[in-house]
Amino acid sequence: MVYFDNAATTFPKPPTVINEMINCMTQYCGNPGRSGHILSLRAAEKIYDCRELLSTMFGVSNPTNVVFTPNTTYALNIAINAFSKRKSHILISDVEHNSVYRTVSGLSKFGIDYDIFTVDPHNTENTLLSLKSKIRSNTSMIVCTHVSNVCGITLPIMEIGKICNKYGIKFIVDGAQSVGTHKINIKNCNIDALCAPGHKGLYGPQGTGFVIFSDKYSNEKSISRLNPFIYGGNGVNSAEKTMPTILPERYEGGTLNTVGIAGLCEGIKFVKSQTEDELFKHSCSIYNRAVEMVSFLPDTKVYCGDIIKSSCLLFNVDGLSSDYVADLLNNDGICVRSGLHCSPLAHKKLKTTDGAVRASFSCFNNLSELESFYKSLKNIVYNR
Amino acid sequence: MKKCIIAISSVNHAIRAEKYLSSNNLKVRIVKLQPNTTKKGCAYGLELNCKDINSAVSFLDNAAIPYSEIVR
Repeated sequence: MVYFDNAATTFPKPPTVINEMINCMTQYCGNPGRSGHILSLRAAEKIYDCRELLSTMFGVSNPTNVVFTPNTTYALNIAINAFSKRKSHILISDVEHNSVYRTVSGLSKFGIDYDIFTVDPHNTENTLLSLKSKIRSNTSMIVCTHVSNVCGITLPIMEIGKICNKYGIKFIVDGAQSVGTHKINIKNCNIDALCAPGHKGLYGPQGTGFVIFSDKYSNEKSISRLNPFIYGGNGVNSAEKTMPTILPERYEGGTLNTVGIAGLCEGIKFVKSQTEDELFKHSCSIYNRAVEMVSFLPDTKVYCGDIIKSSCLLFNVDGLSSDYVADLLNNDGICVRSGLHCSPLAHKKLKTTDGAVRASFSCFNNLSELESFYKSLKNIVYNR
Repeated sequence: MKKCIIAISSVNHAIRAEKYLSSNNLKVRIVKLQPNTTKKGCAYGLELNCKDINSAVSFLDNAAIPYSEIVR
Protein backbone atom coordinates (compact mmCIF):
# COMPACT_ATOMS: atom_id res chain seq x y z
CA MET A 1 0.00 0.00 0.00
CA VAL A 2 1.17 3.50 -0.86
CA TYR A 3 -0.32 6.28 1.26
CA PHE A 4 -0.28 9.67 -0.49
CA ASP A 5 -3.13 11.34 1.43
CA ASN A 6 -1.07 12.97 4.14
CA ALA A 7 -2.74 16.38 3.74
CA ALA A 8 -5.92 14.73 5.07
CA THR A 9 -4.10 12.99 7.91
CA THR A 10 -0.59 11.66 8.13
CA PHE A 11 -0.13 7.91 8.08
CA PRO A 12 1.65 6.02 9.49
CA LYS A 13 2.37 7.57 12.87
CA PRO A 14 5.72 7.25 14.65
CA PRO A 15 5.76 4.18 16.95
CA THR A 16 6.41 6.44 19.96
CA VAL A 17 2.98 8.05 19.39
CA ILE A 18 1.22 4.70 19.46
CA ASN A 19 3.22 3.45 22.45
CA GLU A 20 2.43 6.54 24.51
CA MET A 21 -1.27 6.23 23.73
CA ILE A 22 -1.22 2.62 24.93
CA ASN A 23 0.74 3.70 27.99
CA CYS A 24 -1.82 6.40 28.71
CA MET A 25 -4.79 4.05 28.27
CA THR A 26 -3.27 1.45 30.56
CA GLN A 27 -1.44 3.57 33.13
CA TYR A 28 -2.80 7.07 33.71
CA CYS A 29 -5.95 7.90 31.78
CA GLY A 30 -7.89 9.66 34.53
CA ASN A 31 -10.11 12.68 33.82
CA PRO A 32 -7.82 15.73 33.86
CA GLY A 33 -8.83 18.73 35.96
CA ARG A 34 -11.67 17.03 37.73
CA SER A 35 -10.26 15.22 40.73
CA GLY A 36 -7.36 15.21 43.16
CA HIS A 37 -6.38 11.57 42.78
CA ILE A 38 -3.20 10.44 41.15
CA LEU A 39 -4.65 9.38 37.78
CA SER A 40 -6.50 12.66 37.30
CA LEU A 41 -3.39 14.65 38.17
CA ARG A 42 -1.11 12.53 35.98
CA ALA A 43 -3.46 13.02 33.03
CA ALA A 44 -3.53 16.77 33.69
CA GLU A 45 0.26 16.88 33.89
CA LYS A 46 0.63 15.05 30.56
CA ILE A 47 -1.76 17.50 28.93
CA TYR A 48 0.12 20.41 30.45
CA ASP A 49 3.38 18.96 29.05
CA CYS A 50 1.78 19.08 25.61
CA ARG A 51 0.70 22.69 26.15
CA GLU A 52 4.31 23.53 27.03
CA LEU A 53 5.66 21.82 23.92
CA LEU A 54 3.22 23.67 21.68
CA SER A 55 3.67 27.08 23.29
CA THR A 56 7.45 26.75 22.94
CA MET A 57 7.17 25.54 19.36
CA PHE A 58 5.04 28.52 18.29
CA GLY A 59 6.63 31.28 20.34
CA VAL A 60 4.09 31.85 23.09
CA SER A 61 5.35 32.22 26.65
CA ASN A 62 2.22 31.06 28.44
CA PRO A 63 1.36 27.34 28.03
CA THR A 64 -2.17 27.94 29.30
CA ASN A 65 -2.88 29.89 26.11
CA VAL A 66 -2.95 26.55 24.28
CA VAL A 67 -6.58 25.39 23.99
CA PHE A 68 -7.13 21.80 22.87
CA THR A 69 -9.85 21.00 20.36
CA PRO A 70 -10.89 17.89 18.41
CA ASN A 71 -9.51 19.33 15.14
CA THR A 72 -8.64 22.51 13.22
CA THR A 73 -12.25 23.24 12.26
CA TYR A 74 -13.28 23.44 15.92
CA ALA A 75 -10.22 25.58 16.62
CA LEU A 76 -11.14 28.00 13.83
CA ASN A 77 -14.76 28.16 14.98
CA ILE A 78 -13.58 29.03 18.48
CA ALA A 79 -11.10 31.67 17.32
CA ILE A 80 -13.35 33.33 14.73
CA ASN A 81 -16.26 33.50 17.15
CA ALA A 82 -13.99 34.68 19.97
CA PHE A 83 -13.09 37.85 18.07
CA SER A 84 -16.43 38.42 16.29
CA LYS A 85 -18.13 41.75 16.70
CA ARG A 86 -21.61 42.64 15.45
CA LYS A 87 -21.71 44.67 12.24
CA SER A 88 -18.01 44.20 11.67
CA HIS A 89 -16.17 43.07 8.55
CA ILE A 90 -13.87 40.10 7.99
CA LEU A 91 -11.35 39.40 5.24
CA ILE A 92 -10.49 35.91 4.03
CA SER A 93 -8.37 34.70 1.11
CA ASP A 94 -9.52 33.06 -2.10
CA VAL A 95 -7.93 29.73 -1.20
CA GLU A 96 -9.69 29.12 2.11
CA HIS A 97 -10.92 25.76 3.28
CA ASN A 98 -14.59 25.49 4.25
CA SER A 99 -13.49 25.53 7.89
CA VAL A 100 -12.91 29.25 7.37
CA TYR A 101 -15.29 29.99 4.49
CA ARG A 102 -18.39 28.42 6.04
CA THR A 103 -17.60 29.70 9.54
CA VAL A 104 -17.24 33.28 8.34
CA SER A 105 -20.27 33.00 6.03
CA GLY A 106 -22.31 31.73 8.98
CA LEU A 107 -21.72 34.98 10.84
CA SER A 108 -23.81 36.97 8.36
CA LYS A 109 -26.86 36.46 10.61
CA PHE A 110 -25.13 38.72 13.14
CA GLY A 111 -24.63 41.43 10.54
CA ILE A 112 -21.02 40.45 10.01
CA ASP A 113 -19.94 40.90 6.44
CA TYR A 114 -16.90 39.44 4.68
CA ASP A 115 -14.80 39.97 1.57
CA ILE A 116 -12.33 37.73 -0.22
CA PHE A 117 -8.87 38.96 -1.18
CA THR A 118 -6.90 37.48 -4.07
CA VAL A 119 -3.72 35.53 -3.49
CA ASP A 120 -1.04 35.79 -6.17
CA PRO A 121 1.08 32.67 -5.64
CA HIS A 122 4.03 34.29 -7.40
CA ASN A 123 3.86 37.86 -6.16
CA THR A 124 3.50 38.73 -2.50
CA GLU A 125 3.05 42.44 -3.28
CA ASN A 126 0.00 41.72 -5.42
CA THR A 127 -1.49 39.63 -2.63
CA LEU A 128 -0.93 42.41 -0.11
CA LEU A 129 -2.32 45.04 -2.48
CA SER A 130 -5.50 43.03 -2.92
CA LEU A 131 -5.80 42.58 0.83
CA LYS A 132 -5.20 46.24 1.62
CA SER A 133 -7.69 47.38 -1.02
CA LYS A 134 -10.44 45.48 0.79
CA ILE A 135 -9.81 46.77 4.31
CA ARG A 136 -12.71 48.87 5.59
CA SER A 137 -13.07 51.07 8.64
CA ASN A 138 -15.00 48.26 10.35
CA THR A 139 -12.67 45.41 9.33
CA SER A 140 -12.06 43.61 12.59
CA MET A 141 -10.42 40.37 11.52
CA ILE A 142 -8.34 38.72 8.82
CA VAL A 143 -8.57 34.95 8.68
CA CYS A 144 -6.39 33.03 6.28
CA THR A 145 -4.69 29.78 5.71
CA HIS A 146 -0.90 29.61 5.83
CA VAL A 147 -0.59 26.92 3.16
CA SER A 148 -3.45 25.82 0.90
CA ASN A 149 -4.71 22.27 1.41
CA VAL A 150 -5.23 21.93 -2.34
CA CYS A 151 -1.80 22.74 -3.70
CA GLY A 152 1.34 24.49 -2.56
CA ILE A 153 0.08 28.07 -2.47
CA THR A 154 1.61 29.72 0.60
CA LEU A 155 0.39 32.98 2.06
CA PRO A 156 2.78 35.67 3.39
CA ILE A 157 1.61 35.54 7.00
CA MET A 158 4.48 37.65 8.29
CA GLU A 159 3.55 40.52 5.97
CA ILE A 160 -0.19 40.10 6.58
CA GLY A 161 0.52 40.21 10.31
CA LYS A 162 2.29 43.54 9.89
CA ILE A 163 -0.75 44.97 8.11
CA CYS A 164 -3.03 43.68 10.87
CA ASN A 165 -0.81 45.30 13.46
CA LYS A 166 -0.84 48.62 11.59
CA TYR A 167 -4.64 48.69 11.23
CA GLY A 168 -5.51 47.16 14.63
CA ILE A 169 -7.07 44.10 13.02
CA LYS A 170 -7.17 40.66 14.67
CA PHE A 171 -5.25 37.99 12.76
CA ILE A 172 -6.24 34.34 12.75
CA VAL A 173 -4.09 31.80 10.89
CA ASP A 174 -5.22 28.36 9.74
CA GLY A 175 -2.08 26.26 10.08
CA ALA A 176 -3.70 22.99 9.03
CA GLN A 177 -1.18 22.32 6.28
CA SER A 178 1.85 24.11 7.68
CA VAL A 179 2.44 23.21 11.32
CA GLY A 180 5.20 20.64 11.54
CA THR A 181 6.76 21.67 8.24
CA HIS A 182 6.90 25.46 8.52
CA LYS A 183 8.27 27.37 11.47
CA ILE A 184 5.66 29.78 12.81
CA ASN A 185 6.26 32.35 15.52
CA ILE A 186 2.97 33.77 16.76
CA LYS A 187 4.56 36.89 18.23
CA ASN A 188 6.77 37.71 15.24
CA CYS A 189 3.87 37.23 12.81
CA ASN A 190 1.52 39.27 15.01
CA ILE A 191 -0.95 36.39 15.06
CA ASP A 192 -3.79 36.62 17.57
CA ALA A 193 -4.80 32.97 17.23
CA LEU A 194 -3.13 30.06 15.45
CA CYS A 195 -5.43 27.12 14.68
CA ALA A 196 -4.01 23.74 13.73
CA PRO A 197 -4.45 19.96 13.79
CA GLY A 198 -2.46 17.50 15.82
CA HIS A 199 -2.95 14.68 13.34
CA LYS A 200 -1.26 16.07 10.24
CA GLY A 201 2.21 17.61 10.27
CA LEU A 202 2.66 16.97 13.99
CA TYR A 203 2.03 13.21 13.52
CA GLY A 204 -0.38 12.92 16.44
CA PRO A 205 -3.63 10.93 16.34
CA GLN A 206 -6.93 12.05 14.83
CA GLY A 207 -9.22 13.85 17.27
CA THR A 208 -6.51 16.31 18.25
CA GLY A 209 -6.23 19.97 17.34
CA PHE A 210 -5.63 23.27 19.07
CA VAL A 211 -5.92 27.01 19.02
CA ILE A 212 -3.08 29.00 20.53
CA PHE A 213 -3.93 32.52 21.61
CA SER A 214 -1.08 35.01 21.63
CA ASP A 215 0.38 36.32 24.87
CA LYS A 216 -1.82 39.38 24.43
CA TYR A 217 -4.56 37.22 25.99
CA SER A 218 -2.94 36.34 29.27
CA ASN A 219 -4.96 38.28 31.81
CA GLU A 220 -8.56 38.16 32.93
CA LYS A 221 -9.44 41.51 31.38
CA SER A 222 -8.30 40.60 27.86
CA ILE A 223 -9.68 37.05 28.05
CA SER A 224 -13.08 38.21 29.29
CA ARG A 225 -13.45 40.14 26.00
CA LEU A 226 -13.19 36.91 23.99
CA ASN A 227 -16.67 35.55 23.23
CA PRO A 228 -17.22 32.10 24.73
CA PHE A 229 -18.13 29.38 22.24
CA ILE A 230 -18.38 25.99 23.96
CA TYR A 231 -20.34 25.88 27.20
CA GLY A 232 -20.15 23.26 29.89
CA GLY A 233 -18.21 21.84 32.78
CA ASN A 234 -14.45 21.78 33.09
CA GLY A 235 -13.84 21.55 36.82
CA VAL A 236 -13.26 25.30 37.20
CA ASN A 237 -15.51 27.65 39.21
CA SER A 238 -18.35 25.11 39.07
CA ALA A 239 -20.69 27.21 41.20
CA GLU A 240 -20.87 29.87 38.48
CA LYS A 241 -23.15 29.72 35.45
CA THR A 242 -20.72 31.40 33.07
CA MET A 243 -17.56 30.09 31.46
CA PRO A 244 -14.34 31.06 33.27
CA THR A 245 -12.39 34.14 32.21
CA ILE A 246 -9.11 32.25 32.11
CA LEU A 247 -7.50 30.24 29.35
CA PRO A 248 -7.60 27.44 28.41
CA GLU A 249 -10.81 26.71 30.33
CA ARG A 250 -12.82 29.48 28.67
CA TYR A 251 -12.89 27.20 25.62
CA GLU A 252 -12.39 23.73 27.04
CA GLY A 253 -15.81 22.45 28.06
CA GLY A 254 -16.17 18.73 28.68
CA THR A 255 -13.59 16.00 29.01
CA LEU A 256 -10.44 16.40 26.94
CA ASN A 257 -8.99 13.74 24.64
CA THR A 258 -6.24 12.73 27.06
CA VAL A 259 -5.16 9.69 25.05
CA GLY A 260 -4.94 11.70 21.85
CA ILE A 261 -3.06 14.55 23.49
CA ALA A 262 -0.62 12.06 25.06
CA GLY A 263 0.04 10.73 21.55
CA LEU A 264 0.35 14.25 20.20
CA CYS A 265 3.07 14.97 22.77
CA GLU A 266 5.19 12.27 21.18
CA GLY A 267 4.33 13.45 17.68
CA ILE A 268 5.62 16.92 18.53
CA LYS A 269 8.81 15.44 19.99
CA PHE A 270 9.24 13.43 16.80
CA VAL A 271 8.93 16.57 14.65
CA LYS A 272 11.33 18.49 16.88
CA SER A 273 13.87 15.67 16.72
CA GLN A 274 13.76 15.70 12.90
CA THR A 275 13.24 19.49 12.61
CA GLU A 276 10.51 21.11 10.53
CA ASP A 277 12.96 22.17 7.83
CA GLU A 278 14.22 18.64 7.23
CA LEU A 279 10.72 17.16 7.19
CA PHE A 280 9.56 19.72 4.65
CA LYS A 281 12.68 19.28 2.57
CA HIS A 282 11.96 15.56 2.32
CA SER A 283 8.31 16.08 1.27
CA CYS A 284 9.38 18.74 -1.24
CA SER A 285 11.92 16.40 -2.82
CA ILE A 286 9.23 13.78 -3.45
CA TYR A 287 6.80 16.44 -4.66
CA ASN A 288 9.31 17.92 -7.12
CA ARG A 289 10.04 14.51 -8.57
CA ALA A 290 6.30 13.81 -8.74
CA VAL A 291 5.72 17.03 -10.68
CA GLU A 292 8.40 16.02 -13.19
CA MET A 293 6.98 12.54 -13.62
CA VAL A 294 3.30 13.43 -13.91
CA SER A 295 4.00 16.41 -16.19
CA PHE A 296 5.80 13.99 -18.51
CA LEU A 297 2.61 11.99 -19.07
CA PRO A 298 0.41 13.01 -22.02
CA ASP A 299 -3.03 14.53 -21.48
CA THR A 300 -2.28 15.13 -17.85
CA LYS A 301 -2.38 18.55 -16.24
CA VAL A 302 -0.49 19.46 -13.09
CA TYR A 303 -1.73 22.54 -11.24
CA CYS A 304 0.62 24.92 -9.42
CA GLY A 305 3.52 22.75 -10.57
CA ASP A 306 5.72 25.83 -10.81
CA ILE A 307 5.59 26.14 -7.04
CA ILE A 308 8.81 24.50 -5.91
CA LYS A 309 8.23 24.20 -2.18
CA SER A 310 5.19 22.04 -1.59
CA SER A 311 4.13 18.63 -0.40
CA CYS A 312 0.86 18.52 -2.36
CA LEU A 313 0.63 17.50 -6.02
CA LEU A 314 -2.63 18.43 -7.76
CA PHE A 315 -3.46 17.02 -11.18
CA ASN A 316 -6.12 15.78 -13.58
CA VAL A 317 -6.18 13.35 -16.48
CA ASP A 318 -8.05 14.51 -19.58
CA GLY A 319 -11.36 12.76 -20.07
CA LEU A 320 -11.42 11.13 -16.64
CA SER A 321 -13.05 12.42 -13.48
CA SER A 322 -10.79 12.89 -10.47
CA ASP A 323 -12.90 10.38 -8.52
CA TYR A 324 -12.43 7.75 -11.22
CA VAL A 325 -8.67 8.28 -11.32
CA ALA A 326 -8.51 8.01 -7.53
CA ASP A 327 -10.58 4.80 -7.67
CA LEU A 328 -8.25 3.27 -10.25
CA LEU A 329 -5.20 4.24 -8.19
CA ASN A 330 -6.87 2.73 -5.14
CA ASN A 331 -7.28 -0.54 -7.07
CA ASP A 332 -3.48 -0.58 -7.26
CA GLY A 333 -3.18 0.12 -3.53
CA ILE A 334 -2.44 3.81 -3.87
CA CYS A 335 -4.32 6.21 -1.59
CA VAL A 336 -4.92 9.73 -2.88
CA ARG A 337 -7.79 12.18 -2.49
CA SER A 338 -10.07 13.41 -5.26
CA GLY A 339 -12.81 16.04 -5.52
CA LEU A 340 -12.87 19.53 -4.07
CA HIS A 341 -10.94 18.84 -0.85
CA CYS A 342 -13.49 20.93 1.12
CA SER A 343 -12.03 23.97 -0.59
CA PRO A 344 -14.36 25.18 -3.33
CA LEU A 345 -12.77 28.63 -3.27
CA ALA A 346 -9.32 27.27 -4.13
CA HIS A 347 -10.73 25.07 -6.90
CA LYS A 348 -12.63 28.02 -8.33
CA LYS A 349 -9.38 29.96 -8.42
CA LEU A 350 -7.57 27.09 -10.14
CA LYS A 351 -10.51 26.51 -12.52
CA THR A 352 -10.90 22.95 -11.30
CA THR A 353 -14.47 23.15 -10.08
CA ASP A 354 -15.09 19.58 -11.27
CA GLY A 355 -12.39 18.47 -8.86
CA ALA A 356 -8.83 17.22 -9.12
CA VAL A 357 -6.61 14.49 -7.74
CA ARG A 358 -4.34 15.34 -4.84
CA ALA A 359 -1.29 13.33 -3.84
CA SER A 360 0.24 14.61 -0.61
CA PHE A 361 3.46 13.43 0.97
CA SER A 362 4.94 12.98 4.43
CA CYS A 363 8.32 12.15 5.89
CA PHE A 364 7.49 8.44 5.68
CA ASN A 365 7.11 8.42 1.88
CA ASN A 366 9.95 7.53 -0.46
CA LEU A 367 10.85 7.58 -4.14
CA SER A 368 10.16 3.87 -4.52
CA GLU A 369 6.52 4.53 -3.57
CA LEU A 370 6.48 7.35 -6.07
CA GLU A 371 7.62 4.92 -8.78
CA SER A 372 4.66 2.64 -7.93
CA PHE A 373 2.31 5.62 -8.12
CA TYR A 374 3.76 6.69 -11.47
CA LYS A 375 3.51 3.19 -12.92
CA SER A 376 -0.14 2.95 -11.91
CA LEU A 377 -0.99 6.43 -13.20
CA LYS A 378 0.83 5.75 -16.46
CA ASN A 379 -1.33 2.67 -17.01
CA ILE A 380 -4.45 4.72 -16.33
CA VAL A 381 -3.40 7.42 -18.81
CA TYR A 382 -2.43 5.01 -21.60
CA ASN A 383 -5.39 2.66 -21.16
CA ARG A 384 -8.19 5.21 -21.05
CA MET B 1 4.89 22.67 60.20
CA LYS B 2 1.57 24.41 59.64
CA LYS B 3 0.24 24.14 56.08
CA CYS B 4 -1.51 26.83 54.09
CA ILE B 5 -3.24 26.63 50.73
CA ILE B 6 -3.32 29.01 47.79
CA ALA B 7 -6.54 28.37 45.89
CA ILE B 8 -6.22 28.25 42.09
CA SER B 9 -9.34 27.54 40.09
CA SER B 10 -7.71 25.65 37.21
CA VAL B 11 -5.54 22.55 37.36
CA ASN B 12 -3.54 23.95 34.42
CA HIS B 13 -2.67 27.10 36.31
CA ALA B 14 -2.00 25.02 39.42
CA ILE B 15 0.52 22.90 37.49
CA ARG B 16 2.05 26.03 36.01
CA ALA B 17 2.33 27.53 39.49
CA GLU B 18 3.79 24.35 40.94
CA LYS B 19 6.48 24.25 38.24
CA TYR B 20 7.28 27.90 38.65
CA LEU B 21 7.48 27.80 42.43
CA SER B 22 9.55 24.59 42.35
CA SER B 23 12.01 26.26 40.02
CA ASN B 24 12.28 28.95 42.68
CA ASN B 25 12.94 26.37 45.42
CA LEU B 26 9.49 26.54 46.98
CA LYS B 27 8.05 23.13 47.66
CA VAL B 28 4.31 22.87 47.01
CA ARG B 29 1.78 20.10 46.43
CA ILE B 30 -1.33 20.25 44.25
CA VAL B 31 -4.51 19.29 46.10
CA LYS B 32 -8.18 19.32 45.13
CA LEU B 33 -10.26 21.63 47.31
CA GLN B 34 -13.72 21.07 48.71
CA PRO B 35 -16.29 22.98 46.62
CA ASN B 36 -17.16 25.23 49.56
CA THR B 37 -13.55 26.26 50.13
CA THR B 38 -13.82 29.06 47.56
CA LYS B 39 -16.75 31.26 46.64
CA LYS B 40 -16.81 30.09 43.02
CA GLY B 41 -16.91 26.33 43.62
CA CYS B 42 -14.53 23.64 42.39
CA ALA B 43 -10.85 24.54 42.50
CA TYR B 44 -7.40 23.20 43.14
CA GLY B 45 -4.94 24.43 45.69
CA LEU B 46 -1.23 24.65 46.25
CA GLU B 47 -0.42 23.28 49.69
CA LEU B 48 2.75 24.69 51.22
CA ASN B 49 4.33 25.64 54.51
CA CYS B 50 2.64 28.73 55.88
CA LYS B 51 6.02 30.39 56.39
CA ASP B 52 6.50 30.37 52.60
CA ILE B 53 3.14 31.85 51.72
CA ASN B 54 4.28 35.45 51.23
CA SER B 55 7.17 34.48 48.96
CA ALA B 56 4.90 32.16 46.97
CA VAL B 57 2.26 34.83 46.46
CA SER B 58 4.92 37.28 45.40
CA PHE B 59 6.26 34.81 42.81
CA LEU B 60 2.75 34.13 41.49
CA ASP B 61 2.04 37.85 41.18
CA ASN B 62 5.28 38.39 39.29
CA ALA B 63 4.50 35.58 36.87
CA ALA B 64 0.85 36.72 36.51
CA ILE B 65 -0.42 33.30 37.53
CA PRO B 66 -4.02 33.74 38.68
CA TYR B 67 -5.06 32.55 42.16
CA SER B 68 -8.25 33.25 44.00
CA GLU B 69 -7.56 33.21 47.73
CA ILE B 70 -5.36 31.98 50.53
CA VAL B 71 -6.72 29.39 52.93
CA ARG B 72 -4.88 29.32 56.24
